[in-house]
Amino acid sequence: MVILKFDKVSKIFYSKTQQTTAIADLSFEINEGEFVAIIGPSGCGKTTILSLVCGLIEPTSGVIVRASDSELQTRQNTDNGKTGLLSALKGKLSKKKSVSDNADNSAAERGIQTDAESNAAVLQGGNTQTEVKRGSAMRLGQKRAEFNGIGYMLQRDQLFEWRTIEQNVRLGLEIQKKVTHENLKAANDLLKKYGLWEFRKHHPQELSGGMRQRAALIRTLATNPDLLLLDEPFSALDFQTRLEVCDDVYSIIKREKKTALLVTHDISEAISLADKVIVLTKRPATVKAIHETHMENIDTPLKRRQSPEFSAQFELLHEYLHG
Amino acid sequence: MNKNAKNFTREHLLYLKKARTRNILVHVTQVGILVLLLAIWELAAHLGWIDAFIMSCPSKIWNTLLELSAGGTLWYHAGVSTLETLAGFVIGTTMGYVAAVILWWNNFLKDVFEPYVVVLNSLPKIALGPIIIIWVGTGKAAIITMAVLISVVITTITVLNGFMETDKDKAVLLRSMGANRMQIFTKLVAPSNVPTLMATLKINVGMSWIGSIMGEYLASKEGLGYLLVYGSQVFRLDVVMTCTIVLCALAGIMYALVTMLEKIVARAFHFE
Repeated sequence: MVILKFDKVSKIFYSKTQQTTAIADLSFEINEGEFVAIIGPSGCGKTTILSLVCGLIEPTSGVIVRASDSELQTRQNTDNGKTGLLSALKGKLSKKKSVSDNADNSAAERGIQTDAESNAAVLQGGNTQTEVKRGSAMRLGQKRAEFNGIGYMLQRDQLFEWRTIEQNVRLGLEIQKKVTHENLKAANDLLKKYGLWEFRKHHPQELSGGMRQRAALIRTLATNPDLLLLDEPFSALDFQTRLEVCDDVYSIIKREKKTALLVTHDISEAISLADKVIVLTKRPATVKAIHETHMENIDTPLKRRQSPEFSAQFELLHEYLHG
Repeated sequence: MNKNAKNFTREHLLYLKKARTRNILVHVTQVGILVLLLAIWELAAHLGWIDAFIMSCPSKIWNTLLELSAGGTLWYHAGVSTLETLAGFVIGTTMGYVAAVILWWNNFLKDVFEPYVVVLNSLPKIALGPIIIIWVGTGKAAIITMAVLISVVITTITVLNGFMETDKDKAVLLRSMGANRMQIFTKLVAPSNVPTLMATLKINVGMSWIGSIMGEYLASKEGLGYLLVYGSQVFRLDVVMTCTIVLCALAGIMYALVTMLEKIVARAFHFE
């Protein structure tokens, strides 16, 4: 199943003096269970891609299909009626989220948005009528955005120092109003499984960098997202810790059978973690090459770094990136 | 004493002892300077180096303090001023905080009101005295209004600054979880700005005292500000000095209470 699909996505930012095309005609797919890395020269719009995936900003043109969207699509097909659509919408839309980044060109975008929505309908099997309805529902609540089953892990762990580890892990559940007995139990199970149970009453500043990163990952997993987004999650750590945390995070993601998208500028990190590496051009970013690492048989990132294929792949990707 | 003390090495204990000795020395010197100054003042007045009528002297101040407090006059006026200050402090801080929340919430409003806030902040609030008296009268209301005016704008500016400087990445994290503006405020902006609020409270102790004493200067029949003005008009410099000292003590106590609150809150929120 396709978890995330970018179809000819472009994003233009406007400022008083200029307009900047951050990404142009970017297309790629991520399948369930895959670990995909995106690498590109610095300033190539990686952050823009992450914000687009999260739904924090809308594309200027093109379509982004997320797992939760297609789930909505299938649900509405099976229900085949208005009430089904409405209940699906209610379930999927979190109450309200302002997309203030969007204020710059929201009016212009609204027009394009409609195109994008109907495009999506064509792409997903042509149920144009309901798709348009969905588009309009989205527009009615202009500032409304849905939680799209994505767990975002940022560069630093971003644990809240005034919350205990346990409270930090529950943050997503609180936001999404999903603090139920079973969800809390699932979060506690994660804490137990990954060695943070004894530290649940501690505050983040009492934990080591590696443990904090693990806590951040558990917080991300607690809402049970379909796709994990990793934005250079190890860049704040020193090299030694970085290798350890990298192994740690990788094994947790694999054990939890999660799909992950890693965005990084570090070629070796990309090769050692990912099944598939997408190389971007410099701005405006578009896909330059897609590279399969074929190292599924090697179970940890550290071992992959030590494998003979590693340096050849490194050379190749380096060539793509700078050649 | 630290409960781990018995595990400390000899060198560590020595270090602690040194630190303690230094601490005691600082306090002793502080008190010493005060005593010395008072002694010189008293001596100078007695020997006729300075005019005790104009400069007053510690013994006269002490006698006035006893005299004024025996009749209850001093405590009555001090009580009035303290209540006015507290009212100005609470109302000013609350209004300023609420205004900051509104301006943080709505970027449009923030841009619209920015020049107004800047002008209000630079305006010497005492200039509004006559207007306040005409609009709200000469009673306690006028004095509290003055105290509120002086503390409210600075609160808005400080708190809004804190709000705007809240970690952007943490906000992105919350938004990626689907948080709305309300949740971003309650889960992130408000708790992470508790230290800002505490700093504002400290500023406002001073601000609201300035406001209430200013207000009492302008128009009042009670309060320490009134007593100060009265004392200077009848040339009772010992009364003026006594009031000043009581004022120092009250402001100091209020500041100490806020510092205590700050420590308690910092511990509760783990902001050490």
